[in-house]
Amino acid sequence: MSLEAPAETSPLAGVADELRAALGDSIIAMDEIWGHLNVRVPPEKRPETLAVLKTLGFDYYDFGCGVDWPDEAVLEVFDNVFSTRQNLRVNVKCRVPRDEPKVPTATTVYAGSDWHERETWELFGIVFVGHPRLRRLLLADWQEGFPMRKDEVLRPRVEKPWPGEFFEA
Amino acid sequence: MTDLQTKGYFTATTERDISTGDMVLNIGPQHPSTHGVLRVVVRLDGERVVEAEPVLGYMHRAFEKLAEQRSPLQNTALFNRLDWISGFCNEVPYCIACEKLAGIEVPKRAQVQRVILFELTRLASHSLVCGVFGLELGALTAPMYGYRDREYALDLLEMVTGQRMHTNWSRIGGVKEDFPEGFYERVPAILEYYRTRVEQWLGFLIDNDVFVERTRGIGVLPQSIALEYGVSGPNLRASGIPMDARKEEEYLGYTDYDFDVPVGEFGDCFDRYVQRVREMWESCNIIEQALDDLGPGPINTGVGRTFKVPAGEIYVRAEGPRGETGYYLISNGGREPYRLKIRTGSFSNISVLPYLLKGIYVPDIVAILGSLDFVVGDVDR
Repeated sequence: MSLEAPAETSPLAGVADELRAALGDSIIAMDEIWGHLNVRVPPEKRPETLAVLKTLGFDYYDFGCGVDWPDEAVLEVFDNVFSTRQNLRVNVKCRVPRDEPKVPTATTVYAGSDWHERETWELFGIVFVGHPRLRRLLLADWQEGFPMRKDEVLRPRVEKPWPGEFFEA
Repeated sequence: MTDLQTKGYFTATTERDISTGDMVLNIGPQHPSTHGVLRVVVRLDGERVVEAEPVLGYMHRAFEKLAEQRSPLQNTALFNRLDWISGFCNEVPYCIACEKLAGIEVPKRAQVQRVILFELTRLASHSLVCGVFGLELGALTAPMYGYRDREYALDLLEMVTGQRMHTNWSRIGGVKEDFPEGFYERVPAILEYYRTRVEQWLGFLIDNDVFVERTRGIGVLPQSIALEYGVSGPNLRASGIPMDARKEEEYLGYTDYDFDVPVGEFGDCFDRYVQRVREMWESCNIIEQALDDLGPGPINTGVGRTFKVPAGEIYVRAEGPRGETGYYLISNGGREPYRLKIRTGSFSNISVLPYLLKGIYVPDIVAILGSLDFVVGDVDR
């Protein structure tokens, strides 16, 4: 991502301007991909960014989860919000170090991010500081580790590679 | 004063003094009304729900992790199993995401064929759900009609794809094969059948006093709550918000077709039921127009098995019968996705359960669960 602004004609240009006015230098990167605005902010600015977006008419919390980037030693949290009136979509991303993944909760802004944060917490091990009930959602209690991280491998696939490769070689 | 009173036997008879502690009631994970294995733990004060907590994960199959090890062709087969009642609706958005990243132009004929199957799947799904909702409320004939009606659409799906549920028919760059002979002749009669059934569905339960009493004003979902929790599909539209990805997004050429987006008025269980019946009517309209639109031409661009998705990220959503199904695909240029977030309608739809179940009576729990129309495979992924 770069600091490239969306094109003037894009309907997202207004949103980008408003975000820049409200958050100033906090915006690390911003670009438009496939009609969605991607905004990257520092992790501590996550609730504030979402609160600004909510006042801009982004009333629909669509989904959020995480991505693991082991090469850069970061975990990424993204929140996808949508404006039902203007038909616009913004993806808020923030990156946290892999050894200490902590990010403030967004449940204070969008109550609907509750389950999404619980899922991200158990799958990626990202701690949402201030979340009221950070409990297991999908996994069983006995499961260990954070299965969606890249260093968790699918064991059957390691022991016996997919036979499809045989025909393509 | 009698002896007993002086001895203090009756001192606890006032309502204030009788201690009625809250009772915790466990519903599921094996329960007829949960369409799979959803477990709801409710805390009751007498007959009223004080607090409700859905417990998920009994069908968590880690599709997002599995998808990272599989090629697009294998992935579409996997995503049929997300929401097995509308399998075809889950594989199409993933194909669109890969096609957009790769810049593949899908032939018009393949697009229209996808639309026809997409809407047939919606007809099958909605007619089943309308019937099963009756079962939830004790109307035992309704599911028989529901299952019967669904078979007509599933017959057509089987005719085209060879499968009733897990179709795996959409490919990157088109569809697997052309419609078979005799398909076009069968469709109009089946559409006509569904139209008459829509009217009967409306009368069948709506004229039923018991059904109306059990659903009117029960489980009212306010617009603000629905939006904040990401509720989508018929559940959201029943609350009066005309949000429909078919109108908002450019995919499969849906914007070319003339159809209405019905909305509900109160957002209660009754409206959610009527919403689905009305959407079946619109689906019939779309299929009819799509059949006229179906010109000759190629159905596939011939993308090979070793197709690699170019690097980039994209979010594609589509309007499935249970709300929006979306794929947030991050590709690093390999055959398998680097990261694939699956956004399913049911997951967000039932995240409002703690809100909806608070303060209602126990028998209404089942009515609300049935009206939300979720599939646990879609919730847990």
